[in-house]
Amino acid sequence: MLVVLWPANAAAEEPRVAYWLHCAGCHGLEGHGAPPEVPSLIDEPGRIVQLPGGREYMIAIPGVSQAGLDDVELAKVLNYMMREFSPRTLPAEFKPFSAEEVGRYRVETLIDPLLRREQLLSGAAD
Amino acid sequence: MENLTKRLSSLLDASVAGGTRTLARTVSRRGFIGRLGTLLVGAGFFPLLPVARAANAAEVPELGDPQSCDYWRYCAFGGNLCSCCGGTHTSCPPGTELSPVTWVGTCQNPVDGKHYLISYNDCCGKSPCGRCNCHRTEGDKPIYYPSKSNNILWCFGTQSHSYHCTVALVLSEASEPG
Amino acid sequence: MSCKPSLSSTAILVRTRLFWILRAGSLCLAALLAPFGYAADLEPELGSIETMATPDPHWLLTIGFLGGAYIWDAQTGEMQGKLNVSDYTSAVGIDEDRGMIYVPGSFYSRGTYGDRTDVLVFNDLSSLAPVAEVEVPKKLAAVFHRAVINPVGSRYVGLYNMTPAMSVSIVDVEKREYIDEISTAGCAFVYPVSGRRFMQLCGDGTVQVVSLDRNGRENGRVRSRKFFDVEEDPVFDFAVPNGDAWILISFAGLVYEVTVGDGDDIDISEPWSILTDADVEAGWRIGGGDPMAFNAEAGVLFTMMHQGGPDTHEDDGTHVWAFDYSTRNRGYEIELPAPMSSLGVSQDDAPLLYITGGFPNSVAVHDAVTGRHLRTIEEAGMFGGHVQTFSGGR
Repeated sequence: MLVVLWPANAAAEEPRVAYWLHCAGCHGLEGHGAPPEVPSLIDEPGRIVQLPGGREYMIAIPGVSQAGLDDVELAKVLNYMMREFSPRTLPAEFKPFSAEEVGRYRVETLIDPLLRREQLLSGAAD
Repeated sequence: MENLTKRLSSLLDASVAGGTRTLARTVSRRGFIGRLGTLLVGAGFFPLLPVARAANAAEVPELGDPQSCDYWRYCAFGGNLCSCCGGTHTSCPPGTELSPVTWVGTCQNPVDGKHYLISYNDCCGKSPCGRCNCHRTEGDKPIYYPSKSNNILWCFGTQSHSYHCTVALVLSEASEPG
Repeated sequence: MSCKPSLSSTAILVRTRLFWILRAGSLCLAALLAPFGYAADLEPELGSIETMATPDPHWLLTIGFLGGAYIWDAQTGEMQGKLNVSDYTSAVGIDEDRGMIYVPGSFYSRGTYGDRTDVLVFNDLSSLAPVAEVEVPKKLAAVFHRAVINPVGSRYVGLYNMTPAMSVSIVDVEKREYIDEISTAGCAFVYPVSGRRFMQLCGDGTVQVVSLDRNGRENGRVRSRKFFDVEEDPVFDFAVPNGDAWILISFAGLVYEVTVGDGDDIDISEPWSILTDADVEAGWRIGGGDPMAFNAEAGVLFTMMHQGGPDTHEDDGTHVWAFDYSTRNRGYEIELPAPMSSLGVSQDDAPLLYITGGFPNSVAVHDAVTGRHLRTIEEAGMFGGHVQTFSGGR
């Protein structure tokens, strides 16, 4: 059952709806994606944000950095995504993304996202 | 028909869909019929979609003909209308696959004036329906910005990426044009 | 040989090649007709298979969705041949130096379903028949676009993939083998630039240049500065060449030129607008399937135009405008008899302008310098698509 809660700010989209509009087309309404071509958002983002450079990576990947959302809305969508799809792996002390952090890293060009992801995950294995 | 686009793909029950896709990918020696059979068997989730949507769809007021290109849900539609092809605007014709990857836009409902998120799922696996071609480019972007590009065949995650037609599912209300 | 049919001649009929049957028949016929003044020594024609002539710069290839690839001589308006392609093939690689045309394709074992195979098929340019093929990752982008295949350096070809993740598969056309898949998340297409490099357009408003080493593997990539905003005014993903540089145009009609230096420098020119204030007032916009063309020899830029509101960038055009590229002045305009979708122009110094579209597709051939209509190639495939030209080198 879909229950839509409207924030006090009428111009802002509820994060779930914004996720659906900008991300769910590929990553699915519940974040499952279509692996291996489209990454699943279940669990893995929660692991990645704990790695050094992981937060920056989550913001800079093209699907996030290029989304048609301002920094405030994008931060909300990222946090929604973390809570909804990575509740098992997200650390209790996870510091939610702020608009300022999103604004800072989304303009940094991540020139080879796949390589960066591999580096992050293999670094994690060390 | 020269511009094919497809969006939308819906939500599949996590455990079934994910498991099904994994199975399809690991059993490499299986013929396509076997894989397709697995997908269909594992697709017990399909009936969930209309039910889950029905609760929502019943709340959306309607005006206009889903077999006409100017139907309100089709504001960013690209392709053939499934409603002319043996399906409806919310269901694929028999024997086709509902693409799990899609294009999501927003359209304004003529009755209540609200904007709704519309998911344009492709139905795939058969040659193009070739009827009721409809191409509206509201919010369309070039291919290097794929999440808003109308010109990609959106039959991803299906056994066959042969495009047949497109549906238009309402996902939710939107607070503003997307 | 007797003219009367018999059991033995029936047996011969069954086993013998048609030639001999015809010959026997014709001899009988000749004998019967001789008293009437017909030549008794008429030999049956045997039929033959054409080899395609060497393309010249006024040849073009049109390829439309589900329509296949046709080759035309624009000077005579005659069809030269057709290439077998897949239902998902939107462009081919013309390699006149090697006498080849490379056709990327996705094929299912049952036509529209079944086991999928993606291949690059090597077709001989004279026989227009396949001579070899190389299997590639099953990811070829199902998008109708000219830049899904292009050369990279002198021996490699890049094939654009979407799954929807973006990547490029590299094939060595000299050795005829698949080399590698290069992930290019966020950036699309393959536009060749000098060296062993290709340019792509990226959703963050930049272009990217990827370079390959001698073995066809990536050895670096660089991005340009951000020069457009995809929400405000995106550039069309169709670029046209100006020598080694690439010309881009935005939805609002701003023209950019991208020049990739030998090093890591990518220069983006300051844009100029093809629209005057009056044009904007009147709602003129560029739009179509492949709405721009450029001939460097004559220095003329062509744009497909229509009047419409925002988001009409795919509407067919009613007019073609021609600009002198150096002065940026509009030289002439062509009013089209019917809406058309795509443009092409030969790359030589006596250029022909190609205007394609309609159902079935047709190609209107104009003198590119005067704009004068020369001829129209009718029945040029079911659906219009885009044009690829030959350079005439071999």
